Amino acid sequence: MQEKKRLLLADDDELLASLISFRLEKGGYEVCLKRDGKEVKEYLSQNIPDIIVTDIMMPYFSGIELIDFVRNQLKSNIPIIVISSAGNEENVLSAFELGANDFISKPVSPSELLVRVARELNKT
Amino acid sequence: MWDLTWLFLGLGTIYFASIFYFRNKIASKEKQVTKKKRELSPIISEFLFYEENATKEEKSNYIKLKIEIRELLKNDFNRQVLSEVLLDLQKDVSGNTEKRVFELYQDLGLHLDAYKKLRSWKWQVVSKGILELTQMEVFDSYSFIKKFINDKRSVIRKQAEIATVTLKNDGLSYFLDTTKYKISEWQQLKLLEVVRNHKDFDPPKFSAWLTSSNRHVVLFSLRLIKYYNQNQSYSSIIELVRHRNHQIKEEAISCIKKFQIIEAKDTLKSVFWKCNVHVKILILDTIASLGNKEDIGFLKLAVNRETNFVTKNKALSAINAIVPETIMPTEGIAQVDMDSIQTLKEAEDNFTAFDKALEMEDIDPNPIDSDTITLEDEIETNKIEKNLDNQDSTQELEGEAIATENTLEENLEAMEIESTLDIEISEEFEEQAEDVQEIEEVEQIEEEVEVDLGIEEKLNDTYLPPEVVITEEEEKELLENELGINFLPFVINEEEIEAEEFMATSTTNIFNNNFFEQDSYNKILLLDTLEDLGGKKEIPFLKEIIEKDTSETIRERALEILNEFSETEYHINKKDAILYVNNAPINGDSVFKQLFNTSDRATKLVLLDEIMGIGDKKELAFLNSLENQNDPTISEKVKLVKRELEKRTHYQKTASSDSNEENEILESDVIFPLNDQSFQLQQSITYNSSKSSKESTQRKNNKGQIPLEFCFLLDELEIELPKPMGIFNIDFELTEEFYKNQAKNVSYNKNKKKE
Repeated sequence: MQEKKRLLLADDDELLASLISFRLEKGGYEVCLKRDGKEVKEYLSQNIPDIIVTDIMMPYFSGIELIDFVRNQLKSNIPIIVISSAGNEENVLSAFELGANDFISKPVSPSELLVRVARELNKT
Repeated sequence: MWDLTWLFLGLGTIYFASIFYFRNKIASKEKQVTKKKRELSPIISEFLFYEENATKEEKSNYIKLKIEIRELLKNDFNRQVLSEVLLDLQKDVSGNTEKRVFELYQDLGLHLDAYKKLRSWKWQVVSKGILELTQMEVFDSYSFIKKFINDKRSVIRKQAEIATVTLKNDGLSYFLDTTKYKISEWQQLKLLEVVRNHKDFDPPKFSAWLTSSNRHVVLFSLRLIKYYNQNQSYSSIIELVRHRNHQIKEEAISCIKKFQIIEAKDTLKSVFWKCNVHVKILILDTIASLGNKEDIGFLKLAVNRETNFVTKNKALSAINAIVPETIMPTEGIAQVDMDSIQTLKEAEDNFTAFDKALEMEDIDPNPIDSDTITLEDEIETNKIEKNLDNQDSTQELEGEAIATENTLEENLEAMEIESTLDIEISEEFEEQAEDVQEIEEVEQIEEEVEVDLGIEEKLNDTYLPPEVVITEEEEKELLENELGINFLPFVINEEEIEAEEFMATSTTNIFNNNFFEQDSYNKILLLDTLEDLGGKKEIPFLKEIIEKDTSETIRERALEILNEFSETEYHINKKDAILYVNNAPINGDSVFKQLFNTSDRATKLVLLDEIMGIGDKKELAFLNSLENQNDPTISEKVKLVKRELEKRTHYQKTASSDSNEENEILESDVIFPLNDQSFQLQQSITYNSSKSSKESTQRKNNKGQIPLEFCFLLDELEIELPKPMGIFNIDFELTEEFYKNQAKNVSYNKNKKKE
């Protein structure tokens, strides 16, 4: 049996995170849900997931900082998909500059996100 | 008193207790809601992502969850939480999931709760119900919600307006047909936003509502017409320009401009005079866009009749928009006399032509040797001030300037043809010739002509080319043939002609004629000019002045210039004005001689110190005669003083050779060797290179002067020096410190004498 890919989902919106998490789990991923930047950092210091899906706006540690942390501190090339609300193009650009792999805007289509995650993992 | 205290304490306790109670109640409810949301979210997710092709396990799980949720929905709190969850979710999800959320909302019968809210008497509940139904896209609720369009409670009304437009394509038409209330600007924007994002929205012809009795509907319709480019209803729009309401008027004008409704021009013109400034500006802007030359008249009328600056400006810009550059800028522009400019241009052309003519001639390019004269032109020009006030005088002066230029041109040509002069004309000449046109310079010239003095100087300063080099032979020829007439460029008045005739009598030097006939002041001026422009060739003339002139001042000045030009030092015998060269020793000239012969030994030593400090060449001869003194102390002192004096005179010669440099620092260093103590007084006067030639002359005059400090010292010692060689003015003050030092030195000197 094929081992499930580990996915780190970082989003402070519980309801949406739960919904996305449910959809991704249903899609065959092992999802680790984290509510804020601190939790994400703690998790990443011990575990390296196969892919990260993160919201840009998070308490303590924003998605941009997370990307910077992963790319520059951890020196990891794991795929990162950024979730951002509409009209936040500047942050998205910053995310891409720092090394984000993909971007999806809110309102999120969980099915679309699933496709994007699969695509990024296939690239690697 | 205590009763009141207890009462307030009781009330305070109740107040804080109630705050604590309600706060806790809200917090606990929040916790409950959060907990319930966490419970419900997986169920909702299961429902949302359930697929028909699911496995049996999934299907059975789904059925179980359905039963479970039905049980939960029996509780009002659960229903409320579930509604909130779905409402939140529909904001964050899109696509198929969003549709599933809408379906789930209705499947679970939550929309019935929203309907119930519509029946509430509380405006906020009704409003919330309408919002829920709108967000969850319960289309069936349209017929219930549209009733609230004319609700007197504005929040409900506004919510109903948005719901009506959102839930049905025809909702906007219904709203525009039925609304009786004001539609705020913000509400119009929100409605437009809804309409814009409406899928499959087919905009009706909004011109139908231009006849609405509700002016807000008319205004909103006009905006929608503009937004959807519905340009079929020209007549209605033109008619609305006459509307009493300024907003509608503005919007109609805006439509006219956008759709380029040329037919509206007459209406716009007719309403223009009764409108406010803002509408007027819009009308003018529209006419500028639609208009043609026929509308210029109206715009000019607007310019003349309008008192408002902005309107006037807009009318002017409208004219320029229709016919570009009809109105030229006038503000802050100084008016220029075009005739004078034309005249000046002609003069410029004349000079250019003259310059070209010179180039075409065979001009000897080799510079002329030491026997040539160089006339330098140091024209300092100012820019033309184009001022109306000075226009008349300017014209006169310009005329004179042109005459001057033309005469100069003719003179120079004549000089060239008749005398075949080798003339070198620098590039500056052309620039200076142009500068001649400048009015201020011309004013200056006029003054100079009127004064009738220093014509040659001004001529050379102003109108001659910067470098006209003439050989000696040519000079003679020139002096004989041309000088008297052709060197004078001004053919302006009789006085000047007289001056020319007067100058023509000269056979030796161009300065000669003026010199003997002018008064002393003018003579000094001429000598100044001579000093600036002249050279060795002026030596005979200067000698003649010294011998013939009756004024001692003039003779001294001439002598000073003579000494400047000559390598040999000349002196005057004042009694019979005999000029002699200072080569032979002139014992009698030393001021110290008489004093020295009648003094005792101590005084002689002091005098020798003074000679060392202030003496010059004259004292050298005197010192030579003293070398063979019987007293060995005096003899040695004489030798020492002689050596020092020789050193200093050598230094002065070297210094004087550098005196022609531009930035000159004239130093008068006088060493006072007073009994082994010496002090040095130093005056440094720095001259700026940009100073005028007059200042330069004055500076040169100061060269033979002794420092003022030394004058005081001589005065104290009762020593008389020969008269100064030049005319100078003291233009500085001494500090208190100087006087103190001076007094100290003098007293010290006297004490020494006594000893």
